[in-house]
Amino acid sequence: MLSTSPSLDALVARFSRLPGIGRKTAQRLALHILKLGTEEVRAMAQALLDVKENVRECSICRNITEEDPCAICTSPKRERRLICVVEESTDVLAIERTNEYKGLYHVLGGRLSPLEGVGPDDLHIQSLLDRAAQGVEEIILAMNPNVEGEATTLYLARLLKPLGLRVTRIARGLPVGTDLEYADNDTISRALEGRIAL
Amino acid sequence: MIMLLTRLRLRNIRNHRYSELECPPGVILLWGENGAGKTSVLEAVAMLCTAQTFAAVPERSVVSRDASEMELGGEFCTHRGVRHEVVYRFPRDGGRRKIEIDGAPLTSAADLIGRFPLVTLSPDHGAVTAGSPAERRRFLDIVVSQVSHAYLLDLIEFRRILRHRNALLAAHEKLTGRLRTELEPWDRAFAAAAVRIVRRRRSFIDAYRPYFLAVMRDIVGAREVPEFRYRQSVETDLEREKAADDLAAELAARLPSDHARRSTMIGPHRDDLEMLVNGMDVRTHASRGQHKTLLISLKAGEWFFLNDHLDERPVFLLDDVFSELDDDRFGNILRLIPLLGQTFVTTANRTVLDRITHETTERALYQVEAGTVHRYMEAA
Repeated sequence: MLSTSPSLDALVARFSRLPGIGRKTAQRLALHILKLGTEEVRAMAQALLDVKENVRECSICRNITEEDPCAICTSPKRERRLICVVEESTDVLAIERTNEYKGLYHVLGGRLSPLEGVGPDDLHIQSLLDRAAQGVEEIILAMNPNVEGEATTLYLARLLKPLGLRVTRIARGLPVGTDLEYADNDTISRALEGRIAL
Repeated sequence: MIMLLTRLRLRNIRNHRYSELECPPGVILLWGENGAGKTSVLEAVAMLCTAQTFAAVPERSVVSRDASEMELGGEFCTHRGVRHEVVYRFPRDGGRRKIEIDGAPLTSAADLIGRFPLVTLSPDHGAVTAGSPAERRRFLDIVVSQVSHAYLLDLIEFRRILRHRNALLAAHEKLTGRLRTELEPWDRAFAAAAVRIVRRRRSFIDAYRPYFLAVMRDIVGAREVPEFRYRQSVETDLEREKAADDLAAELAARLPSDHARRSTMIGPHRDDLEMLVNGMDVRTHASRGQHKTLLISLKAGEWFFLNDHLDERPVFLLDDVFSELDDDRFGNILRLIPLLGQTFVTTANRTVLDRITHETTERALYQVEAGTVHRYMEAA
């Protein structure tokens, strides 16, 4: 293909490296940028730089933040005896959207996956154990419901239980708003497994 | 009404540039020379029904050499008269296959399996009775996956856990306490999935056995009394209540030898389905004829089993099975066909063509020549 603009090509190449962006979408985005006003483009470039410059990891919970410690860790309204352990910062956002949870978080930065060479030392596990030893009463394990998440849950439970605190996991079951008859067998059998007394 | 594959489209599969077939109920006979492209038609049906080629060949090798993508299309009509269109695309170079049902892409091929049930009998399946345990596990897994989606999901999960476990064994040079600690959650996940898989395989074998024996006795007319047994790679009783804990303990006990081999030596991936005739292992003690009889009974039994356990009547694929059969067995299978649903048959043999023409009533005849398919005109 004969290109008439190396700059455009370079931008397309940058976009297509982003997750979930294919070649065609990258082209459409690049052409869209081209049509924007200079100010708009400058603001976008600045936003990219700001994010890189200002955002870092909270030294306590490892969530993304601009102030260290983060707003959740320093909030007086938060229940400090409760820690919810998640794989990624996006999981914190998901739980925060519910406005239901008032405890603290701990972001592992991934999950155990020997196939990808991810072991306990690659995750924020030691800092979790340190925090757990400081007056925490309950740790909620909220890993994704797949084999890696499950192994991570079992691994952490084994490390945390000797510390004498309550270790729980989030339930796996039927999504709200769906009918039982349309749920797949695996979901139903897991939901039965995790049934609770009334 | 029964489930039918009413229409089949093939684009860029082996030597087929573009072929299209109308598929009525009854027998669809594909006649042509060796290498003409008959088996590719059956492979297309297999991929549309089960997302797998039936001879365990990589899909990439099925795509025509000079084409960038293979595209298969199948129109199904369920027994309730509901029409579904399945499209199956596979790019030649590295990309992922794409499957659509009624225009909606499937996120996982597992969602296709079991919807349009299928039984396949081809000469390659000889390995089921004569070959390695892996062939028999494959036979088990394909049947059980079609009746139980939970089994299929367990199997996918188990394979992933196994790969993680083996990766961990390989990553640690020495057998340390640290390796044991890191393995523990994988062993527990492994044991839980393994117990579910083995239990379901055993209960399938018990449910399937009468179907197999009935075909063997009534249709194939064998004098021998065959038996099969599920043979575990480990003695742990997996029917017990605490079986998963026992199996996890067994894994831990065998860690030194697993670590030395960098491989997991016990579990459903090492089990076997032992087949015996008159108390003797068929792999070493059966004649060629006995192997054929067994294989036909296994597959026809599978068909009757699936027919009773699923909503839809399975499609049957018979790839070049008549040419090697003696007259008796040929006649026996021919008598079987009207009992079955839609059956796709390939043959290069003129006699087979003539006999099927004369001895079946519902049929469509196609001639396959160098990757093209056309209706075969019967002599008046």
